[in-house]
Amino acid sequence: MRKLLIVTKKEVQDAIRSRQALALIAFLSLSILISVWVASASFSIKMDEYNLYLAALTPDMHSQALSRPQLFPLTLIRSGIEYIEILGALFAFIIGFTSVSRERSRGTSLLLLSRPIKKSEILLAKSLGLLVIWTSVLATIYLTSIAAIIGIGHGRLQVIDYVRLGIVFLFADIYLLFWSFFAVAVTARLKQFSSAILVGITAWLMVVLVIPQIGDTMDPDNQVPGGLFGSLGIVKATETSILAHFHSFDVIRNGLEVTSITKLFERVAFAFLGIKDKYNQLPISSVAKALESSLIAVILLTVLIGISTVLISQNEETLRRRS
Amino acid sequence: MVFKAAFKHELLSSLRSKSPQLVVTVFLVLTSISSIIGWLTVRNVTKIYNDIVSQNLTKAPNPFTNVPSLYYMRDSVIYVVLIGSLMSIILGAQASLRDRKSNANELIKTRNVNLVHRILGQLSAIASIIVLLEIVALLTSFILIWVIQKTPLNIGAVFSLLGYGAVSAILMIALAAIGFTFGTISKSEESSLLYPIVGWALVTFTIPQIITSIHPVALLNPTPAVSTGTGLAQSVINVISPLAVMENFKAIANAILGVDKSIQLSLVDLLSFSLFAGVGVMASVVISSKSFGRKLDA
Repeated sequence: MRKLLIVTKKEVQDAIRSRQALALIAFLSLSILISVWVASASFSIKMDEYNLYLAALTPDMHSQALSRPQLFPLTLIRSGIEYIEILGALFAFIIGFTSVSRERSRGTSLLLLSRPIKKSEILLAKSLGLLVIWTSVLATIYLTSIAAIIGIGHGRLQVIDYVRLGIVFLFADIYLLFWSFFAVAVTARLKQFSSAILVGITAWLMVVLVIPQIGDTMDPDNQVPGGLFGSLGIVKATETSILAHFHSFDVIRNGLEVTSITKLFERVAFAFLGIKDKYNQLPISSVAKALESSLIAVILLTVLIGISTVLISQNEETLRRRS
Repeated sequence: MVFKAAFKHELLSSLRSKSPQLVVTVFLVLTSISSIIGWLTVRNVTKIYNDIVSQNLTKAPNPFTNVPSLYYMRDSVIYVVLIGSLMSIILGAQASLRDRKSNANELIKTRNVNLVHRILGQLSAIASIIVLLEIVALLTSFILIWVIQKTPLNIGAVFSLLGYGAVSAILMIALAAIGFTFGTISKSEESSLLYPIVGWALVTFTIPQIITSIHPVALLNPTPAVSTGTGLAQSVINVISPLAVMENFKAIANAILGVDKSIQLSLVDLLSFSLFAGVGVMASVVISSKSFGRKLDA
């Protein structure tokens, strides 16, 4: 256990020394701040437009006026979550990649292997190190998000909002660990660093950007600016009954989307934060129940890739080879 | 002489290199099948529309009536922004890294070689590969649209397709040159890829978001999202807009393909895009020749 902790500590110290963790915190914090600023500025514009609309109404029309736009504070960090989804995953890959490549290029992996510690223990300790790094980074981003929502977005948070945000960041931790574990597995398995980077970037591109993009493109409501059904004047209830006739197309579209861990993470995060209207203000337990399969899938995928990483380390050459 | 030798050598080395093949394959497959994805979606939406009409729920016209033949290509624009850009950065970075990793730079420094000619030769070879890939993608799209519509594209559409191909190739060549520069100046292999990729992400997602308030993921949807703006002063927007290179490219490409009749080819977009491409390539040649011979960290 002590040997494990020593390697874990070294992993964390390396990340601090290389300023990777600091750069991550800085970049993701900045993206959260920009997101909250952009979203609250956009909401202010919407409110100004609404006030102008109200002012234009005659007193007798006030009773029929459209309802006032409502600000749900947690929705202000929507873009920040998307940055975690896209760039967070890329950074997670880099952190995982560097964790193995650094040892191999410096030759410290050979030194490590000469000590009384198993190869699987080394990779287990590295995985623990990655967990510590990501948890620390996300804890900082969690606090930044709260500060941004209150300070920039002027949002009022209830206790339940802190919990919802906490669940999302905990889940982000699992999602980003998936990418770091994947990077460790790929880098440990491939001889060349360049091959590992290219395989990683291609996988990131497909899973994070291309598959969700194809899924979004295939969504009928994403085909016309403002939405197909909205442009045709179809109300939500009718929309659902019409779409029921096109179930097979939607099954294919949804099937494609769920092959991406990014899309699964997005669904969970958007549901808990109330960004997806149908989950807004629902109790946490109801949201968790509705998103049960996505939650389990992300956790399972991360555990599986973690196990694969440790199994790959059983190969004699894995940590020994140099690029 | 140096230009020709560098061109030939780079062409052979890039074609032999196995590493970028994966991303090149993804680019070719997705840009080629983008018309099928577009067609399937349009077909499904038309069926939904017909269903709505049969229930007398709308009198609005079908949003896809009279869409141009190149409408099916609109996903391809996004794939150039996503995959084509990253593929180009990788191709460019790998080209300069190859010499640094094999220590060929040391040998070149002992000879009387004009570095600018050599770099231009290498960049021209990468540009040739990009143009070749673009031709293959366009040809496949041309055939697929022919099959889908059961009639070939007319001459006007063919010219639009070629114009779109040219703009896409210019974007990718400029990004390859930027990748090449990072491959020359970065201390390590990973940073040579990661810095330009992070820069790409900022240009693709963050800058447009600051200008338009559109969420990053929505920027990848070929149907433009409704922008509410962020209240920034127009003078500030004018200053940062040219930096939104991918949005400029999307606007130019969509205008050339004619996928959205409301989008006209804007001179400002065209100028800022050309400026980006020209400055990108020139800066790459200057910086790469000045920084030639830097060693990679262990």
